[in-house]
Amino acid sequence: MNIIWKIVAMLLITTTLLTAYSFSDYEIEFKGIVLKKTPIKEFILGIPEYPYGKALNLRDTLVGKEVQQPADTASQRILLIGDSMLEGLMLRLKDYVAANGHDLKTVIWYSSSTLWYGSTDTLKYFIDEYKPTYIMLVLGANELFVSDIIRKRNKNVKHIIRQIDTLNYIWIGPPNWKDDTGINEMILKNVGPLHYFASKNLNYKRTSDGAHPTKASSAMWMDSIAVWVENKSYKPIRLKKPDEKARNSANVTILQPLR
Amino acid sequence: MNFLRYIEEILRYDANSPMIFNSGIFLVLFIGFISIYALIHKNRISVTLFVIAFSLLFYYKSSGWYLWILVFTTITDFSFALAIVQAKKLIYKRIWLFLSVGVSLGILFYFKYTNFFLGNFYTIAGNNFQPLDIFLPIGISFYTFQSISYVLDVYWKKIEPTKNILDYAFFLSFFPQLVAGPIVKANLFLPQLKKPITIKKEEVYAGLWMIMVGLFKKAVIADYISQYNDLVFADPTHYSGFENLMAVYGYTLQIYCDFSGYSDMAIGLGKIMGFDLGVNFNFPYKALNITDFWRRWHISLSSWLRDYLYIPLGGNRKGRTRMYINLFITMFLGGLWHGASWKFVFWGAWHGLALAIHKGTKSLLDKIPNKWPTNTVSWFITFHFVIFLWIFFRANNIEHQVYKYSEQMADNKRTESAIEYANGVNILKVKIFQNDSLVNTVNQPLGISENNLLIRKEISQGTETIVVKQVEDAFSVAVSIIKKIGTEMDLAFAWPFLKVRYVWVILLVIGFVMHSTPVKWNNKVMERYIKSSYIFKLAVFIILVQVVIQFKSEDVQPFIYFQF
Repeated sequence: MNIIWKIVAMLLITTTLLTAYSFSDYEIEFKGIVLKKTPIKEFILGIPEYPYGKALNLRDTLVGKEVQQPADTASQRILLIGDSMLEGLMLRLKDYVAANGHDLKTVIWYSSSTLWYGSTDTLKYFIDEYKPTYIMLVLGANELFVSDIIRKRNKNVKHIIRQIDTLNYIWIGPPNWKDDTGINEMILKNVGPLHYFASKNLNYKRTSDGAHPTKASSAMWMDSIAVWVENKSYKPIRLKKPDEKARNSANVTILQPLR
Repeated sequence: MNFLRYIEEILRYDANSPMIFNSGIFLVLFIGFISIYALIHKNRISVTLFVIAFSLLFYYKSSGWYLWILVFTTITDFSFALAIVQAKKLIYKRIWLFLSVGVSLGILFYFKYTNFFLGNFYTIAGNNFQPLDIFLPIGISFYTFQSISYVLDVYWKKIEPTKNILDYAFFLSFFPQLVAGPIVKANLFLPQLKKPITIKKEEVYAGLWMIMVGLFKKAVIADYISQYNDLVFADPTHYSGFENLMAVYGYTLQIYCDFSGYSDMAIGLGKIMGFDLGVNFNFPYKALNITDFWRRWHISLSSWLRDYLYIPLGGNRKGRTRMYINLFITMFLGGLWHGASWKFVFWGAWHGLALAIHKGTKSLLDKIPNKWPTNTVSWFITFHFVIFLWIFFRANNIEHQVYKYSEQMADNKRTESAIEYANGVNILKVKIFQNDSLVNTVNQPLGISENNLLIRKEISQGTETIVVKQVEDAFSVAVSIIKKIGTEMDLAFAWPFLKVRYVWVILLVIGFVMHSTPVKWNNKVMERYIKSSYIFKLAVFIILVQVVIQFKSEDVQPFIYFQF
């Protein structure tokens, strides 16, 4: 056999294996590492990787196939992390944490975005430091009006998910004050409905800046999130509505905005 | 119908993702290419036409219709070389040579250096400069130098010109080395076209091995570690001295793995097709002095600079002072070859200076005993000198946002904005017009006295956002990295760094270990692979491809040397 044909055979066998694996529903896992697939299937079937501009069909998404897990009643180490929108949520979440026996660590990175969290290891750093069992990520409000957002930010969202997808997490979407250019849809597409709380569907009273919900409105927002976490999220945790306000102060780390 | 869509998708030029060897599209195209090549490789005419056609397709996938510049250079330099030989008088030979080199350098100058020189001219004149929208065709620096070397060799009668334009087109457009070298000299390559193509088993498997090593270096090590390096170089002040130092070591390995990995793949592809493209890297970070470094780093470029610039300038034949000046000029221009920016000139000039100093002190240095303690010191100094200059090579301008102003643009509104300097402060002046009548003026003091400010505008959802940015030039960025390393070297960052970025550290160690192993060991491993069974070779290849897929970042990292 001509030596070049042996090389051709080698390339063809490799490509065939990659193609077969890309089409299969089965994922090979080796010591906790899942072998990634190439996007050959998407290329051959003509499925765009991100259905930008189309109505979202959650049945098409892999994450959409996830099934809700039983509720976890154990006490949790909750990491609340994200942009300035979480300030209001934090005040009410403290009450929930005290009433349900959880522990809370809050990290606020002012003016942050999926670009910042998605191009740094900040999130991973705090996960390694605090070792949370539950993550609430509040992010997206600073990118409501970014044009061509999927092309610009999708890789950052994926980078964020890679850092948290082995843990139990929810992503709390931005409380829109205007229609966005696609940030909500893009995050939902990436994390799936069981991980995503679409805050844009609620009505808010805003502070004078016109963007942040008022303290009272944020409390109601947190109440809605808690109901959703307990009933509709991927892996519910206990978040019974507290009867009284918590007295302990929150464990908060504040990160400076980038210049 | 779908089949046509696949073909269109595969053959289409996408400016955002020029084709590189580690892309899936190249794998698909190469399977088709090498299958046909296997069938026709004994028929010289068929091979020539087929390889040229594929090379042009490859270049089209990299640079679109700028491929006509390659075709133009091929035709003109082929014709000029023949004219040089046919000219009876020396003056005519010189005219043809001058025309040939002038046209080649003129094209290169236009695409690569127009904005650079105009920008400097306007700066000196004190005017604002809006860069022209000029696309830099990929690989133009490489094939231009290759073409110039051919014409000069013909003029100096080192080689006979080829009479067949197809042979010349084959030489200049040969796709493995077309876009990123090695810069293959005509006297190495053209004689190979006169012989029948012989494909030997050992050479093919050696080629495959080189492709695999190159793929690992480029697609796994360089692309992965670049992600952290890019973060630090994008804003070094937000990282500690230790983290900056790691990024500098990281970039040192990244640029080596990126460039030598791509060269390995090019040379390996050449070997599989039965062609020798020479050697381009020889473990450069093992060098014990700077002269030694340049004999090991980008060998095809340094030997080009030696043969076609340093020696014609007089080399070492016109006294020691001229030799030092020639070395400096050669490296100064070598730096400019790497990019139209003063940072590359600075980098090249310092290498030139170092080469001159090394040559000047060589008689003294040679007296130092050639033993491991002194060699270790020599290596350490050389290695860190090279690293030090990589900082300037890599650093880019950074833009910091200073102020942001937004205006709803409904009802025939438009804005005019400018920064005016008054009483030691810059003021952003925004004039808002409605139906061409001035309706409002915003004067925003920016609290900054430096003149390194620029305005960027973005229109989205009917809102115009005017952003004022302060530009930190590349040189200042490099200096701030060095300062960080020198003044904020807190080793308390080491352990958290190791914990969070352990994959990065592991790859860094693997990269440097691969580079440090003795050449003998590398050759032995390659020989073992060549002699192993086909199934073993196949298994290694499949595992490597899967490792590349595992490490592939969402955005394929562009090849560093595409910019040159």
